[in-house]
Amino acid sequence: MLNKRVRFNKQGSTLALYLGLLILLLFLPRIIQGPYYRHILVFTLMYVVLAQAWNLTGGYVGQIALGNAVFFALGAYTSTLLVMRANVTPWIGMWVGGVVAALVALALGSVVLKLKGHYFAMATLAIGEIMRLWFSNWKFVGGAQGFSVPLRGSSWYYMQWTSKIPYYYIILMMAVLVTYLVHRLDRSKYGSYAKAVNQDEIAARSRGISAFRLKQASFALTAFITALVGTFYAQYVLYISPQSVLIMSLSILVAIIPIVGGVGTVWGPVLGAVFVFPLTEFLRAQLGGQALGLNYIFFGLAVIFVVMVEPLGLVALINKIGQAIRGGRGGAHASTEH
Amino acid sequence: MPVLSIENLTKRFGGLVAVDSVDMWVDSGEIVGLIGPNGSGKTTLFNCVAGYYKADEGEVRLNDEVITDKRMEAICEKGLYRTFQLPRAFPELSVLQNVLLATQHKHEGLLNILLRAFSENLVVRAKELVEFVGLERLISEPAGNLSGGQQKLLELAGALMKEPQIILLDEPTGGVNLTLINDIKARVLEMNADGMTFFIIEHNMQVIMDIAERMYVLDHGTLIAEGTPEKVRNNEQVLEAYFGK
Amino acid sequence: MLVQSIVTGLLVGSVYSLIAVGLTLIWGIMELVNFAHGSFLMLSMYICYAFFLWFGFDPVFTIPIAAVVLFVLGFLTYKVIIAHIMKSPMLFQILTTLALQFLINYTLFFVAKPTFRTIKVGFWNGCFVYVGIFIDKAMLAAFAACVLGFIFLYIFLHYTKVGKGIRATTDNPKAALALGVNIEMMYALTWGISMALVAVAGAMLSRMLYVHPTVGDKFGLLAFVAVALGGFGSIYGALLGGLIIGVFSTLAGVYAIPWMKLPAVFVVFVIVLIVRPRGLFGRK
Repeated sequence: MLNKRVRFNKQGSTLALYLGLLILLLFLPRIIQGPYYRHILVFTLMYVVLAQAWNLTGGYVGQIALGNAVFFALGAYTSTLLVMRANVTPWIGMWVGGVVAALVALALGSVVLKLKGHYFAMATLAIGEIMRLWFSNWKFVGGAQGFSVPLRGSSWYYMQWTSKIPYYYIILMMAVLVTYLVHRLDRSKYGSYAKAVNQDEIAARSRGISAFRLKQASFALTAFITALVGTFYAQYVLYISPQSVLIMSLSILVAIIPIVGGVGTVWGPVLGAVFVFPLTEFLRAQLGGQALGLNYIFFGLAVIFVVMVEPLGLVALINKIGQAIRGGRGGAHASTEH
Repeated sequence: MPVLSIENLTKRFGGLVAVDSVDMWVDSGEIVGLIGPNGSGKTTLFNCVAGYYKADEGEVRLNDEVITDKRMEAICEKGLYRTFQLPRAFPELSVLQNVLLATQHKHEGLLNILLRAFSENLVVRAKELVEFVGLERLISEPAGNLSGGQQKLLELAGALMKEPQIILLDEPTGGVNLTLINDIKARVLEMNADGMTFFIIEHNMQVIMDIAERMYVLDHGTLIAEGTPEKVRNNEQVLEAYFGK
Repeated sequence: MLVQSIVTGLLVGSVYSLIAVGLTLIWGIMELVNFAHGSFLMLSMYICYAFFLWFGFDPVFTIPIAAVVLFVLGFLTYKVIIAHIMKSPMLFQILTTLALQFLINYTLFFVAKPTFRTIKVGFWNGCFVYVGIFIDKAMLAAFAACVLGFIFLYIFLHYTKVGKGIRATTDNPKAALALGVNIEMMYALTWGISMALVAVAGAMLSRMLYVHPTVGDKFGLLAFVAVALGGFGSIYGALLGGLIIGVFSTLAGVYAIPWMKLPAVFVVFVIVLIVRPRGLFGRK
């Protein structure tokens, strides 16, 4: 009897927390004025989605992909080309890009997913570079110059606005939806099977789990989501080129964020992105905008810190702090249970 | 028609013949033992049967269906469940989860896996199985915290969850303390009483002679004897293989 | 044309080999892939640039300095960071060296600004012409430096106590430990030596390329390819792999479309990983 009541309270307080968070996020643009700070918000949320996407293949199933920029670019280029050449709204182009990316992931995956560990990581790194060099020299995609997305002022059809606020809400919605999706996946059979494959692939296969198909599905999903963000980026920055969407540092960054936050957890990617980006952007502003690459330096340090001190990431760290504060009642809002 | 039939199975590693033209079968409801000195090819045989290795020659049938070149996952889903000599559990998943995910997968589509959690029925059943092997105290423990013997019991629970046609146990009592050995033995007999078929590799003679109805003896990859435990126990070749001339 | 390409390819390849051998040494002894390898190369180039800027040194003369600095850096990197992740799951090992790459690259971004620098010293300008084949002096010097590097490495590994210790640890850590070899020191020294070798390669490259924080990344990847081709853990493999890539990429640049040089190499890389991950002489 007592147990039931305690559990309801926990669930109730968790729900309240989420709701509160959501309301805060919805009203954030009112609180935070100024295009620069709003830009930080948009950027951070973008990386939340990208990190969540990476986490599916990298954190849950355990294949460390270092070439996700490929999918990002596929999304950006597909929708941009469709807008430029066929006047197709990016709202549709986005999904086309997603499908393209997923198909590419399936094709590449059928070959590359047979590799494990370092080999897979290196192969994806190489593929990323191949793609970058290829696109830099391919006229059809604008070569090294890339494309400027045709300016249309503020238009829903063309997914462009002069204010940052609509962008914010769109990426916020994506972030919320993707996080919810990962939450569902974590709780479903996928969560268990993926983690099983990650921990001992042979054991999983001898229990009848088709590890390869699981990896393929994860990879395709990762690609799909990443491509969606690619389209968003194209519409936000209004300029794409291999130097901006196909670079190694992007691929590596989206792998680093979940590690810092907590690999293989629902909130890891969120915490990772939220923790570092606003912090470093703020610092950068203080340092007079001369601090190039500060983000990356911080992420680098954060990874090393995490790996040496708390491998389970910020999620676990916060959990422990929460426990210490509450005297052992346990964290309610970070999902580190199975 | 036997549940498992192995015909002329051969496996080579380079110049070494690990399993040499072996013929065996297991009938439904039997407990069949597989013994032999170290390095005689027993685990290799299991590996070939279960799809972990690809056999060089021969044919393996499960209920008359040829499974020789099929993948591990497929063979498992068709009804052959194997355990490992060194127990393989999922260290960071709980005992309950370890059992749950051994459920049958053949009817699961991709969307089902992605969006559905384990049904209430399955969870209840998994809990029952955890109780059956006596691990209910540890049901939420990460499996990595369990002792070797406990992990072997866990594997048994997983095997039951699968509801296979036959369970291949590779040294179920290896490295396990005495009490747990008796537990494992008892569980196997109980499961067999309910109709489960077993094919067991064992080094512990007491255990295997006790529970097996029939036995095969392997030495250097060749089948050197078969029959009831008494017959095998007194077989000269077997004694020679174990103890030398 | 063909012979010219092959000669040029061998010269270029020797540099890849020297970079690759450091990578393979580390893999061989501790089964760790150093994703930050290219960044150390870049550091060496910046050191040479700095000495060029401040003292007008030709990079050749900066080699000893760069080698020492990078040796120390490599040694310290092991002691301070890598030593702690030796027992970590592979995910963390991979991400740590990646993070290291980020750290090093972007610290340079921050400190030196991402402008492209060049070193212009007249020392090695021009080409030799031999039997109608053009040999760029700077590349020949690079080749010579790399050959010397390999010779030093060979002598070190086979004739010094420490070198033998490293080889022993690479072959059989447990036995080495039993024989009283200080494994931790061997690991740290291997890191130091790898980076020292990279420093030499970097010094020679600094004359020929723009010095820029991300210049090393490409070479890091090429080193992976060389190691994959030659076999992880094999020094001869790294040597051969580097040369093969040098020749292959030069040929690809000449006979196919020029920009395809690198992608062709990377495609080969992926194919090797899939078809024969052990490479030519690999052990693991």
